[in-house]
Amino acid sequence: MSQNKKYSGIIDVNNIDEWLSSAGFLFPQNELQLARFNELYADYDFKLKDASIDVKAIIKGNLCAFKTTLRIIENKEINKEIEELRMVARKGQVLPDHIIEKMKQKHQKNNNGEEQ
Amino acid sequence: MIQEIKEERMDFENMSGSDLIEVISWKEEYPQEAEQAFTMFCSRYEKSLIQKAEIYCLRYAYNEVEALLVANCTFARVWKYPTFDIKKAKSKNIDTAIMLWMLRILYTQIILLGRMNTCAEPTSEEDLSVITTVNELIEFHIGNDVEKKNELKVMLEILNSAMLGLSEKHKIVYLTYKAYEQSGKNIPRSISKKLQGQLELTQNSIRVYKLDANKHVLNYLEQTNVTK
Repeated sequence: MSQNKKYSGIIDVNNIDEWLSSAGFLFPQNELQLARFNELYADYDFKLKDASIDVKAIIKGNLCAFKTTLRIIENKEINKEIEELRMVARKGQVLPDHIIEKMKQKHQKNNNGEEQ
Repeated sequence: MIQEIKEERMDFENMSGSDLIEVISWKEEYPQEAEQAFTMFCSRYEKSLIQKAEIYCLRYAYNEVEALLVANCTFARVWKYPTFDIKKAKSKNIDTAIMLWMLRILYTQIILLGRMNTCAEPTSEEDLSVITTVNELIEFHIGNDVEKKNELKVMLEILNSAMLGLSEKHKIVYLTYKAYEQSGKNIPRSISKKLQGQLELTQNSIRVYKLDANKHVLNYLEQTNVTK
């Protein structure tokens, strides 16, 4: 419950884009959002902390060709939950208790195990 | 600055980022100096940009290998098209303004990653670094101090939780639409097609995924905000 109080009323429909851009989900639109990102990830353990740009390859125009495929992790549990939410949304209903409870449990579990 | 080049007394180390970009833009006439300027430019901004690439790529289910590739592609774009315009910058601090510009290039590269076997060559419609709306040109110098780290972490926790119930496909559709919407652009048809192929979805499914993801995130925030 204290967790919910901590979260309550901070992010809403009016400022979600602002925070998505500040927290590394979208690119920052201004210097405040960039400064928030820098502060938030200042002590993050970057895997690429020692990586550098291949300046010579860029200048020579032979940056390695590559092909990448997106690694989509299909999560049947999530898809089922979304389907339930979709059905509720279609009918314009209030979320049933069991769905709210499931969301809470999942978020609680995530909060306990999240790296940041 | 051309005089300095002629006299071979360019001080790249103490040159501003925008001056380095200007020298880079002279690569046809002064290739050696342009290369030196580009080398200095990369060493100045690479660490910050590569790290941001790592975080953004996580959101798109890409790993650090792909993050380094898109970071390289971003610098390759700067080498190829050194078009940074300080007059359009959204920060008085040149380094910050350059980083904001490069992050738009980077994000475009992430969205387009995999479409070709090389760095993406976005059209102006696809390119998030092409600014088209009047609002985008307004300088956003906000006097507010940055929140404390603990407060920022709470924000990140909320967003992570809101995204938790979304599949990877939902997340990618949601963020891609948001990226164009917040730049005042409609999602280009080519990007929409790319999403269809990449995520193996039909155009209608993409729309449904977008709506579902929006509803899910807003529902989560609503639930969080009413629970006291």
